Amino acid sequence: MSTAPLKQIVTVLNPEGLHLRPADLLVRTANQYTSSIFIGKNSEMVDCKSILSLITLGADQGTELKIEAEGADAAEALKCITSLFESGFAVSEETDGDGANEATDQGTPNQDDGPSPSNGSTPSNGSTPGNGSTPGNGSTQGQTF
Amino acid sequence: MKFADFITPTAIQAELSSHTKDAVITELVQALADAGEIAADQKDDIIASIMKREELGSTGIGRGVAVPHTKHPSVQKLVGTVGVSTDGVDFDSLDGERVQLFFLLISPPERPGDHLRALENISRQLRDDTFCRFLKQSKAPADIQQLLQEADDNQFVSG
Repeated sequence: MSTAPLKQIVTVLNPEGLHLRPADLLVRTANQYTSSIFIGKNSEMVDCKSILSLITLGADQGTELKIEAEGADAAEALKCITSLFESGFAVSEETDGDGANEATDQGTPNQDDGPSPSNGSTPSNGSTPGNGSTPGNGSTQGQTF
Repeated sequence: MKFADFITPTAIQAELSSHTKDAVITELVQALADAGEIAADQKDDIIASIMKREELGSTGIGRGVAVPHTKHPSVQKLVGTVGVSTDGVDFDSLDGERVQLFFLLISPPERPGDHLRALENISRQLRDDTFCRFLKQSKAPADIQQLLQEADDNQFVSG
């Protein structure tokens, strides 16, 4: 079954760009799928399952990247990876402290009704459809690479 | 960005004496302090900060390479050094391999782009097997410096 690869354009939203931890997260995510997944800009496409390749992209915040997935689970893979970009790799930015989380995130953790009160500074606020699939609370980004 | 833009030649360590993650990071940060690239009184804080970053996930990115790093307000520009371990160090790498090549980076908090450019440069050069192998075989800082210079001059990467 040789179908054409599925394609998607994503934008790097997190301030730090595609540094090591987002790249690590991308690799771990991509490895959950059997499809071949390539990502890049212009003609330079690299293997999304290789962290060394991913960081050769040097993708800053605002960079548009093309993703191509080909294989049995390509659609799922593309959707999952796209949501990682849309969330600004929020998961990877957690400060994995020692137990008690400091009160750095004063945002609303997970409620799906009602707009969050204060900081409308995050770009994705309110624009994502409410299917709860993205880890939306990306308000505490970018303190560490 | 080229190696010459962020690697301090006098801080290069050709034969690391350390055999643990903590010790290697300490050795490399000490080398940067000795070279005058970081303030001596900031050394311990920088080491702690790099170790804290490692707890979030190893910077051992495979192929025997690690890029321990942190942001730190005491530096005005991206500074870094290279260390080579003959035996390799268990660094909890993503691929489980021991690490022989270390690129330690300290960057000012407000310059994420420089950090990305450094990562980009390191990873592009390391894709070349010859460069990688020669670096791991280096026994003197001058050899490493020459290899970095040749890499800067595009003698390894065609693109």
